[in-house]
Amino acid sequence: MNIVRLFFIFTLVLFLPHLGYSDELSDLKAQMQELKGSYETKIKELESKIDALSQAQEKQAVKTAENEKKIADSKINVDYVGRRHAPVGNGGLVVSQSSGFGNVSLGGYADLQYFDFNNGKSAFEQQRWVISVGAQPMERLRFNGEFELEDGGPNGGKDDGEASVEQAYMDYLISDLVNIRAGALLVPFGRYNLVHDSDIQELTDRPIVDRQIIPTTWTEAGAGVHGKINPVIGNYDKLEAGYELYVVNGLDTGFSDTGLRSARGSLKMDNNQNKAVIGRLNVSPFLGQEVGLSGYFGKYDTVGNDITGTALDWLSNLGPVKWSGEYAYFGVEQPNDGTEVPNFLQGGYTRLTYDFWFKELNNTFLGRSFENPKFALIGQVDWAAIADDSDADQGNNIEHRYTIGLNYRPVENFVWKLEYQWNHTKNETIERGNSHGIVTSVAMGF
Amino acid sequence: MKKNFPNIFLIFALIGFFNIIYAEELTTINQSLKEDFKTTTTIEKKEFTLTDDQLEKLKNKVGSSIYSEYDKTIPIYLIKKDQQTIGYALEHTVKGKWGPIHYLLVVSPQGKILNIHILSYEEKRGQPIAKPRFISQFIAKSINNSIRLKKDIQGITGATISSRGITDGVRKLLTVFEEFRKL
Repeated sequence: MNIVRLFFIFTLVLFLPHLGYSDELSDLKAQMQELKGSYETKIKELESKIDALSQAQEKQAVKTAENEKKIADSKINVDYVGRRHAPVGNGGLVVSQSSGFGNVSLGGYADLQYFDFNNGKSAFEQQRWVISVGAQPMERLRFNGEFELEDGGPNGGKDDGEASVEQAYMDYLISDLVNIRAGALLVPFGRYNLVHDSDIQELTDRPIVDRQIIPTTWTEAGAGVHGKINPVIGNYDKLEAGYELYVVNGLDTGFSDTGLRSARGSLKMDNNQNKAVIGRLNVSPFLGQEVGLSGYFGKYDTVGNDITGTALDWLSNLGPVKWSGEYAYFGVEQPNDGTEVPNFLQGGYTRLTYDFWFKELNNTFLGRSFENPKFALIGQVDWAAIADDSDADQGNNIEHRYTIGLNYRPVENFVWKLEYQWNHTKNETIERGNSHGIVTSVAMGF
Repeated sequence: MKKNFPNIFLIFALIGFFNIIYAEELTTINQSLKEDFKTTTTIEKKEFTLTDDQLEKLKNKVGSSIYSEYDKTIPIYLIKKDQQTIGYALEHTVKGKWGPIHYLLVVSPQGKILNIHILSYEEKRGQPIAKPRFISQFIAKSINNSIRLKKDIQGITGATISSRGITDGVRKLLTVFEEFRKL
């Protein structure tokens, strides 16, 4: 029976088209073919539209990324990073581009001093307000400037102050080893002149040698080169050496047997058209230790007489103890016309500093909200000796000073200093004369 | 001017002779690890994400004032030889004077510092932080040593932010590594 059914169905299927339905099926087939063709065409059109849209979207994404980058690059950031922590200059406020170039820093420091000596001299002195500006318009171009108002400036109070450029120089950076610098330069003679800022130094009064032998702040107009290297000797790779070498207008005839301060060169002209050469080489065998050797050579008058200087400076950090100092010697050629000038000026200082803090003070007003407050105990011996120029005809002028001091620094660039000095002078006064007394000051950098 | 001409020429000749344009090599992680582990090794990278508890522990241990967004997930590289881990390297970024400092801390399986590699060159001038005279102070220290700037580590003059960044960063990474070792 099943076989019969199958035979019947088979026959039906085979012959049905021939029974009159074949035309309709053909029509159906044709319609389906037509629809298929139409849909395929539409699908192709849609696919190409999608491709075009994807490409347009990709281009837009690239444009958006470019625009976002432009916005990011042009975005200016302002940040306070702390004094002497900016990528350029000494100020703590940095205005920078996201690209990293076009940085400008702004800051400065100020101090107020009080001294009371047994020789009747006692006063408050707002001695210094220094404004620092640094700029780095491109990676290899830098400017660093400091402008100082001393004792209220030339029009302050009793018109006994002054205003001056401490430094204003431009750097053209080439490599670590060699870079060009030009402008009003801090003279690299000894170390103190380069780091003389009130908020950095531990004592109020500058050492006698750095007042009257090395006339800090000593600024000269000139140009030269500077750089540093890390030479590897055998397996030893911790050595670092740096140098500065400049040609400047130089010292003139303004010195005497009480010091060199008045012989500092002009930033406008040279008294004798003969330039001086000055340089310092500093070597650091490893971090925390540094030795510097400086030299100066130039003519000081218009008839070709020389003044030649040599200085040695050192800085040693050993945990909480710091030992620093410097020695300087100037030899002066005597004029042939009978004018007497001191034929030598020399001096030096040595200082020990010990940093300490009591954890018990952390929650007191001295320590609260400060990250690393500290005290420092300081002891310093300094002296200067200047040959007589026969004005008083008493012999060479010699001065000694012994200082003991205590500092409090709630943060790195704010310091309150308290010290006691004993000064002894033989013959003419170089700095404080025969006197002893208290000196105290507060200084702040920003 | 005439007699100064030879001097000026000499100066420029010297500048030309010593003009070494600073080659800014980019030290890759692979190069750094090949330098430290000279034998044939394989390197496996893992991302260690600190849990909230671990982050809290980190903040308490090293001080919340020095915590940063870079601390939450630390890429850690396992240096393996013959299926055994012979060292680890932790990748991190801290704030420097001239921009972010991207570096690699290499430690022994016991957590002793073997080396520090400064990887990227946002440090524009001289890369003082990358110099051996600074990095060598950290070698052989571990979480059991005090690592504090100006107490145990001498900073670099003029680069205090960078010195502090690396010192605090290393201290954090040693704590992170201790947590990682517990897994």
